Amino acid sequence: MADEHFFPAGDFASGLGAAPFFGSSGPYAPAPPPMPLDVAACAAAMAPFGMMLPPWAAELHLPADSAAATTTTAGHFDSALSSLVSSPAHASGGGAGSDDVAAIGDLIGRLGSICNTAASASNSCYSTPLSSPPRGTSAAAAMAFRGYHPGVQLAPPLETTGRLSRVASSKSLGAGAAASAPALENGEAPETTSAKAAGAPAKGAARKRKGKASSSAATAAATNGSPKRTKVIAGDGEGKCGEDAAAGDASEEKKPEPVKDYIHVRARRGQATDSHSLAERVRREKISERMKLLQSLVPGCNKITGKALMLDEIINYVQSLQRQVEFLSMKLATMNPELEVDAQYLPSDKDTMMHHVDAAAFSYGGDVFAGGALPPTTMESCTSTAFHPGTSAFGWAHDHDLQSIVNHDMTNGHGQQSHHHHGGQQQQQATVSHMKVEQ
Amino acid sequence: MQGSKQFKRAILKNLVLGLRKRGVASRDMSFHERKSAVRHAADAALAAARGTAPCWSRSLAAELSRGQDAQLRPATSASEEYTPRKMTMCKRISRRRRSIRARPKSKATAKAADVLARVMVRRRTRALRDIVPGGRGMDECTLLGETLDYAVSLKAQVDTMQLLLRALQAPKNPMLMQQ
Repeated sequence: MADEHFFPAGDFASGLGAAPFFGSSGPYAPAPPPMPLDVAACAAAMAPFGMMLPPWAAELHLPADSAAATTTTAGHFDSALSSLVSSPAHASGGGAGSDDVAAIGDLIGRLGSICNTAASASNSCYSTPLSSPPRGTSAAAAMAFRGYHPGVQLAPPLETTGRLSRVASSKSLGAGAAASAPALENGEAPETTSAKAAGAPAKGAARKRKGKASSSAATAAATNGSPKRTKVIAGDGEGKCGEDAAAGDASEEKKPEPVKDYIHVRARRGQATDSHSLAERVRREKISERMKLLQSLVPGCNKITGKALMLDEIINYVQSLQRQVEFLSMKLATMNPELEVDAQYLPSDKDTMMHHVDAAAFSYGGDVFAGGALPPTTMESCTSTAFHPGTSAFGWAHDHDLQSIVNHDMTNGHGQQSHHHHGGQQQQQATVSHMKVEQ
Repeated sequence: MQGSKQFKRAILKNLVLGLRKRGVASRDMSFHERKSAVRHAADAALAAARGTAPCWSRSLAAELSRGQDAQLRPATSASEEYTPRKMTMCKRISRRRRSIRARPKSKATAKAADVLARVMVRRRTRALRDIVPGGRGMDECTLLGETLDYAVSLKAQVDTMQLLLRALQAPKNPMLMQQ
């Protein structure tokens, strides 16, 4: 699917939450970051922004208590994330540490084994196959986090390649961290634009990634020092930025690698050279570049030319996705009882419960696909092939609790509800496959 | 593809956690309340999994917390404002577009067409701002970037929720019974 390679390169928090913040300081240091930690860290991280997640979200902190609570007292961003960094290092190092971390690391390890890619067991999902994430980057990471605090200009070891620079990004790849920060334009919100800009060229470059995994792997390996987005996409994207940069070079006369806060642009031959038109042209090119990215994302937009029509399609696409979320949440609401059952398990081992439910989710998914009743989407087909080894690996060892959940599910879910769901789900499936066909 | 898998797993875990927490206070009166609670949980899971890097993620989290507070008093607008306003706006846009399409272009009207195109684009940009959370405070360029990110994340969220649904709806596995 077209959007798969657009994946938000490493910006998300599953301890990855830290990824954009890490910058070039190190590869995505935490190998398998424990999930609940991430949620907690994100909740903690978001707190300084002056938002409160819903009250129940405060409990997201709970599973991470032992590992992260020590430092996440005030919910300070950098402390939370540095604890994230240090604890997974700890966990992956020996599987030692608190029970929490061990259990979660175990789960992550299993998830890692589910993944198709042949990488190291605990690291597969969370690090680029190319890089071996060094563990001792907590200091650098913490420094990077501080740089991310809102309103503060980015500290140097930030991955961002700046708003514009396809060229700059290619150079920064070689140059490592130092070039990244100064690439920012003045007065822009640091994180979003930089992450976005870094994301955009990476994504644009990642478009070609599919066919060229191996070559990009080579280039990415070479250029691994810099922006660690810890995703293969990021790695490839960075590698590909070189190619884009080459193209960019031809179209836009050289943008020397910005070492200050200004973006240096040279006027093309035969064009007006006053600052206004230059800035204007730069802005227009940025916009058109993003429009092209969006065009490849939204299905069926290859033939559409023109900004207005394209925006129409984008709006329709996003709206349809939002409607899908509504619909799915409605369906989830109707079958809530089995989730509510977990209430009785809450006082006990939360983490193992979570990991049971996840095991259930993934393994059920595998069963369903094995049944072959529903045409799997591409993503799920990927995961389904992974599920079969996964189910055998799980061994159903923990499933006494799970069984009761299943029983509840069946008793509640049967009857007219299941019928309704099935019909609804087929429709949902039809919409999804319809969308795929459109591409 | 690795990145998207991790992201989806993050969303799934956050979602399960959130739903479970919410399930503790699950004696909800009505189906609608449950549905909106599930949607809030899903959005919070998405925002948490995505992190705070993109602007929409932060705005979404802020909206959710605002909506949560508003929910304690009987305020209906917080949850329902999502769809109707934006849909009407987009309907207006497409209606207008249909009426304009047949305009002939000559030299005289070329400039008018140009202006018109700009107006159309501006209208759609406005609609896009309404749709993407936090789109108000952005310039056009960042808006497009945020839209891209948001669309990809939404797609991941949809896939994750479908996966979860399938998992929950799975027919009972005879293997389980033996345990």
